[in-house]
Amino acid sequence: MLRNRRLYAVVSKEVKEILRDRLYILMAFVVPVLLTIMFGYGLTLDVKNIPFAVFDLNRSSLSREYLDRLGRSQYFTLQDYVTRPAPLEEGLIRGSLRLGLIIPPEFDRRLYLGQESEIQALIDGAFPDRAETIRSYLEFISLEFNRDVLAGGRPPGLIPEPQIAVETRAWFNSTLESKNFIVPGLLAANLFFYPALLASIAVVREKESGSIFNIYCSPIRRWEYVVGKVIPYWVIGIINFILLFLLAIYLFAVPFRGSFVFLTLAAVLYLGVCTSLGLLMSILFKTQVAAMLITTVITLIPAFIYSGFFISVPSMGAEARFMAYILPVTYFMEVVRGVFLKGLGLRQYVLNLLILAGFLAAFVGLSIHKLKKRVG
Amino acid sequence: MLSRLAALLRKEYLQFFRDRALIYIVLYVFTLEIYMAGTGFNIQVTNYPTAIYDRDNTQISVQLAEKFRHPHFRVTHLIYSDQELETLLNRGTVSLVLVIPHGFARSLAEQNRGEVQAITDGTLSNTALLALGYASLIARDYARELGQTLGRHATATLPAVKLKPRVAFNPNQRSEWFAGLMELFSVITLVAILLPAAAMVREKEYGTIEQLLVTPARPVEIMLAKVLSMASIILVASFLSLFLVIYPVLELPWRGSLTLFLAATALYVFCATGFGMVIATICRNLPQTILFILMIISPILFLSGSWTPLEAMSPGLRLITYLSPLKYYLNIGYNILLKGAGVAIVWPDFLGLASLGSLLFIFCAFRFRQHFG
Repeated sequence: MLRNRRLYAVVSKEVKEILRDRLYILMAFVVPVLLTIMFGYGLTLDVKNIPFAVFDLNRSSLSREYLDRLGRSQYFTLQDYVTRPAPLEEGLIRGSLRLGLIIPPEFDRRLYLGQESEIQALIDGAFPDRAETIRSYLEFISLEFNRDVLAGGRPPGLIPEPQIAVETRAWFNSTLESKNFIVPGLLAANLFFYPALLASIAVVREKESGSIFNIYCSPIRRWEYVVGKVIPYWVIGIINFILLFLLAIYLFAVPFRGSFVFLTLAAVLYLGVCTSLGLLMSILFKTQVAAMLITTVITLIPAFIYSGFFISVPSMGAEARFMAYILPVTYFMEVVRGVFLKGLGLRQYVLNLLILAGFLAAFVGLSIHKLKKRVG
Repeated sequence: MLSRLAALLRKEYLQFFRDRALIYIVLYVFTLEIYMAGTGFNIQVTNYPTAIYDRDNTQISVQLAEKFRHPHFRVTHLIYSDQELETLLNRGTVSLVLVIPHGFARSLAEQNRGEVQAITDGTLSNTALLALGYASLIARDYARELGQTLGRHATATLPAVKLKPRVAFNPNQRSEWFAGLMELFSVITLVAILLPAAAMVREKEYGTIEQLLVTPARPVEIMLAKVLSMASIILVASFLSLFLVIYPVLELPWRGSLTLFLAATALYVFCATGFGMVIATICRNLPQTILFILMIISPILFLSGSWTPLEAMSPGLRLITYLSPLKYYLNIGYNILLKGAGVAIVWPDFLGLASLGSLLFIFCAFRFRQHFG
């Protein structure tokens, strides 16, 4: 295979074509770096600075203390005191507020009497996950308020209720920084859609322009043509992998606990899978536009929503879990996060590598099978 | 002008509908894809895979462990050694381990205080945080329950702030509304930028644009034909998506004016195709186009407030989002369809879309004239 002249010819033609297009070759390396930097800084699920307003009917020192605690946490930003409830609802509809609080007039009086006092919280439900997070933050701050401010008011002579403290610990990412899972995740996601899209027009382009006829009447075998087309984009992908890996370590300072050699090995396999997926689309479709669109659709958005990038695969619905398991990105996502954050290696991920190898064989095999060396 | 435009439009429609595969792909993304994303996508913590490591093995510890159940947790393993704990978390088989130490029940009985450990897999920090929060709430509730049976005091008569949360617009927090709409908006963006850009660059690459330019049609009309044909196809597809998937299957409640939403969609498609046209004036061939599209489309899709709350972004990045048409459209879409907002509320976003779109087309017309004028 190494001394195969026909294979070498396809590769060298493809490489020349790529190298001749200066803008293309420049962007091929710049775009994934730019995307990783942009997403690494921008893409966060942390819910912070939630804009809220309050309709405080009580205006006492206790109600102010409560609001102070909200404002002082990094989670909430007090936008406005309102004097009617209407602006709260309006702000929620407009989207300028995510939360509206209503504090009742007898708020402090009830507390001084040793009773429970209710605060109404209106939460914007358009983004359900954020609504849930906002609610849990509020619960937490109220718990603290009860403990710190109101604890002195306990009527004497009663045995308090038992306490169960939950000591929480997060392994692998003890500070629970989202950067530490976002950046390795980006490595897997970017390297999924990127090589696939680059390869997606490699063959269909020749079909459209008619230069594929040269292939039809040449002695080249089908597998040589397919492999020759895959190799240049595979190499671009591998260079990109190294660039993105360096970014993760040096720019984003993500802890790296595993073996670089193992990760590279897995990445090379994975990049072959992604490139050959793009190439398969290029062979299956007749027009460049169709091949581009289908490849974007099956890679770009799925790389983020089904791969386990944000949500762990086991908590997904059945349909999404099915999608997750038929996408190669899911298997590499596990490997990347495992190697980066858990320091795992070959022993734990044999199955993942085998599955990726299976994908590679299937995509390359299908490509060869579907490539026709004749018109029509 | 109208007859020339009509002729050009006819050409665009013919070209689009001749590509069977393309029609199927567009139909697929506007229906099945939206259904999949809508039903499958759930960012809340449900059925969080959990293992129980009960070293106390008393009635009380078993009772507490039993509280970790549906909807938030699903106990898949009962483990008996530290080593098992490590393998399970390492492999990602479970994401949370509840460790109940030896002497837990005795400590509760004697000191009125017990301690348990919740260990999570921190690799997905957002869900880990929520899961730890739920674990604490479960422990608190169980302690209260235990207090009542033991005759110890419950907090109900202590002074306490009690939160009465109400989630507006989506009281049951159904994520399929959010996810389905978001997928629709993403798909519209994808198609509206990619298709016209690719179609235009293709004409440049094969030189058919020269043929068009020697006809009486003006450059602006050529551009307009591409935009209008695309916009109408996307509008029809969105309509299908709303009436075949989002309303009947995902059960989005009827709120707000559909006409207003479709008007916004038309404006949005106009704006997004503007991006496509800008790309088309820069790129000379389709490989370049792919790279440009990726560079523009991925930030638009993922940094417009859909995934990342805008208020959590750094100020500089937030400023850039004003260039993203999806930021305005997302506001309009959610505000109209989920919250029932009217013109009075969404007009600033309409204005934003219109001005962004106009800017893009002025730029394109200018570039076009430079190129071919």
